[in-house]
Amino acid sequence: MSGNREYTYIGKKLERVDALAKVTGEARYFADVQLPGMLVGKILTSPHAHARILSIDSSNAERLPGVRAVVTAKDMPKRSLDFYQSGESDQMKGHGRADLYALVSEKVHFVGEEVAAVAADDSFIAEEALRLIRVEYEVLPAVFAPEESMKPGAPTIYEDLPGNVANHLQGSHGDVKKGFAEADHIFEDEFKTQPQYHGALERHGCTCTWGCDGNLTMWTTTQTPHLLQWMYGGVTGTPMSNIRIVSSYVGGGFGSKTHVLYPYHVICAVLSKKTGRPVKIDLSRMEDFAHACACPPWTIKIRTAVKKDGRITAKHLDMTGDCGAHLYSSAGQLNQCVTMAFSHLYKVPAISYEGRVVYTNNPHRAVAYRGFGNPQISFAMESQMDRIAEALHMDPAELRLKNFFEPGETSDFGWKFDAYGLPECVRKATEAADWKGKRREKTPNRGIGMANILHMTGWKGVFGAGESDSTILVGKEDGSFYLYTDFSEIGTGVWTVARAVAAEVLGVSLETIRIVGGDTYATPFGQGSYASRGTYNCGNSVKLAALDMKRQILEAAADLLKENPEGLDTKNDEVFVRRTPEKKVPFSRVCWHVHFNLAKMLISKGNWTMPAGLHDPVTNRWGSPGPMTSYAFACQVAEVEVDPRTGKVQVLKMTAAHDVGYPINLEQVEGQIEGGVVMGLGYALTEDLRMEEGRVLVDDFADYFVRRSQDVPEINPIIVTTDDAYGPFGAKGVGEAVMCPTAAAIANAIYDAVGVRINELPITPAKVLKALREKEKR
Amino acid sequence: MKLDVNGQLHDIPVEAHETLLDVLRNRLGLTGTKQGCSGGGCGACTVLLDGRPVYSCMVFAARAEGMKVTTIEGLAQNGEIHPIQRAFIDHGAVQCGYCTPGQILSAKALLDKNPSPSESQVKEAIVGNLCRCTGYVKIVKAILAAVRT
Repeated sequence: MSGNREYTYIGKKLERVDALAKVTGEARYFADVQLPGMLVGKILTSPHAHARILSIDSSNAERLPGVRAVVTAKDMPKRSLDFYQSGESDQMKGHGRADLYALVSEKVHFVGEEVAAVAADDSFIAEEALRLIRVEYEVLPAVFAPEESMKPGAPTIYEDLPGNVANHLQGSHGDVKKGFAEADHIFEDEFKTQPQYHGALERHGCTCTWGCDGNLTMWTTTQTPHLLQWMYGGVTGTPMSNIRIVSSYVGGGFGSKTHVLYPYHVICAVLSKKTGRPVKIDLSRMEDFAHACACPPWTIKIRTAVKKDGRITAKHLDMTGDCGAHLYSSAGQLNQCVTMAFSHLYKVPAISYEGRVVYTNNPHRAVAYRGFGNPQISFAMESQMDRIAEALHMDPAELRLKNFFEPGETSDFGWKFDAYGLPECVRKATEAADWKGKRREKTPNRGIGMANILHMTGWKGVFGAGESDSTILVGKEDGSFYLYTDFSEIGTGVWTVARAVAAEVLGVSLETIRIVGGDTYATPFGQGSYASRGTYNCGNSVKLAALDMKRQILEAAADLLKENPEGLDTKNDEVFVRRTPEKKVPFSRVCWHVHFNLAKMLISKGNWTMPAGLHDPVTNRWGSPGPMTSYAFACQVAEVEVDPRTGKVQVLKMTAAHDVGYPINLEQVEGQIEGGVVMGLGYALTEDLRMEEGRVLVDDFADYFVRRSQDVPEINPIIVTTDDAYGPFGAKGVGEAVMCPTAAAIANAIYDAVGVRINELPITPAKVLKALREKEKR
Repeated sequence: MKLDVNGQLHDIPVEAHETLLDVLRNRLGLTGTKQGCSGGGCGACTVLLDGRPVYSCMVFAARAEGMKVTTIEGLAQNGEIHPIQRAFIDHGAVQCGYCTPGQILSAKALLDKNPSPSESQVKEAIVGNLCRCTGYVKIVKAILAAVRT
């Protein structure tokens, strides 16, 4: 909690720690690592959506000059790469399935699944070798839609799971029957969402090398280096201390690089071990598309009961997700849809829900994606809210305000809404966008729409009850500091936050602190950069470490100044006596004193997890909306123009008001909002990892429409300040919230513009045109 | 072949199939030029050829003989970074950093040709440079600010 707001760094526009290395091209990503004798690794993948492997003959490939190793499933660890999904996670126990292997041996389950791999002197030889591997398949019937996959008689994708339902959850709270019985109106709608490709500019891959002492070094692109180290150790039995994961700079993640030990990680390490040489696997953009990381597509049905005055009395949700052939984090996303937005965006006395994720032979890998289900559920909920408002002849903003919690209120599930900026987000966004004026005075084919969201921040992790993010601070002899954090810098600016927090607490200049991050040899354990937790969890662990370091500095300075440590404080790289501020000593002198006179070292640590008492294994059980650490809120308002002849939607302006707690780096908070809105805009209108009969139909940026500089509307980021109870200096996380409301706001603006409601993302010109024609017929 | 990169002449063996990007990254170790797609779709590999921005993944190295190649490593002069680089730092235009070298070189090509571009000309100049993080707002601001310095 923050007291005064007289900060030196917090809340200012700060220069990023990593900016200079990035503008000069010096920042080194995994693909930039060049090692002597390095080989190229390539992976042979399945051409069939569902087939039995009868035989693999790699003898011709092995004989090709320049091929150094060929591997198949028999060379790989036997354990599932996501073994924790089925057991070693409190959260997942009994709710997950371990279904992912480095290379498959008996069956392929989708086009693109890894079957064999080679290491060769160069990529031409490696590709030729892949062509020489003969795999004999018996093609099996495949299924590509969850509704079909659940039907009796559908092909069984995993023999131990007839029916193909990989995960199911169900629950209710309150008197749902009564809620629906006492309603004046009941609204029921169905929505569909598409798989969105993360499209990080840095593609997937890694570079591996083994030392003669049995140490593996893997440079890769991961949001969670320590989890990757733990998973690699768990899968292969290699002691964790023999595994070094380096992932300091990551060229964008957006969820695709979190929590997953991918087949390519293990394949690359095994190839390197087998050949005794460094190996790099650098997926081409085409392969990266075919690797098909995406958020899973969902069908979302919502039934909502409301009184005449707009108060919601009950809600029912039914969700079905297509997880493709592997569960990845899709079950977690289903869980989060229910336990977060559905249960707590509005105050609803009674809710019931049922959801499932279903195996199909579709090729997408249903990994995490910015928002973790929230853009999807919010698209559905917030589209329906507008339909309700229209039916009740209410302003959509008023309907929403009527159903919010009261600031300071605690929900039935124990969520405390102390820092509750949601009503202010709505007020500020609507004012800034001239909501009332634009709704009153209509321009033909132009429309305005809004959407709200709630998103958790400060998440503790999924494996145990109290998982740490950690910082080690080391004071050097000259008064400068090393700050070791578990966090990689994936672009979010977390290292800049870490440095600002440490400098603020210590009272030193930013330049005296050097960040070391994302290297498991050097940095302490932590969960990593995902779930809008960087600023929150990293910031908190840094703050704790810095407070302890400050105590040590003051003690040493007290010895020098012959004063009590309690009477001292720090500012401008100096320790001063509070009563007589002119009596002071520079940090450099204090640190020198510690090392050269007191024979000690300056070292401190900070461990942060969810505060005790908040995480309750009973209320936080699977499918139940137990409290999170903190909640971020937002209201976005979209203004659009629809061309009724072509169905083309042009977004004119986005106003995005976000409750970010107390912002640490203003520049970066704005940057997150702008970037998130643009990603949400792509999700709303153009981005779709299209697939047909189990094949991904797009394999480059010419066919997959990521927004370009000329496709970006005016964006007005509005920062709503609250004071989070646990966040560092009152901050909340913001990385995911920024894209969650965008699609719904745009859909609502389209309805306002031309009177058609598109319930299926993305909202393409074809869909708009079809809806306009149907509207004309009516 | 002989290749002039950032004012330094290199005499190196190059195979016919090698792209300028391959040679810069693999033979000369200039890894500031990023490889995003290898298909002319993302702009991460943008370099300047005689001042003109090109996707180095789409140019055979042999074609660059006799031309001046400028990469991100060649922008700093006498230990001072280029004003566009400074502006990217000052205006928060950098996030993950993977598109950054390409954005900066596209901007440089524009400003060398047109010292006072409009906002829409800036957007046009970087339309071939994808960014997945920033939403372009701060990149455009930074380039316009560099104009003023």
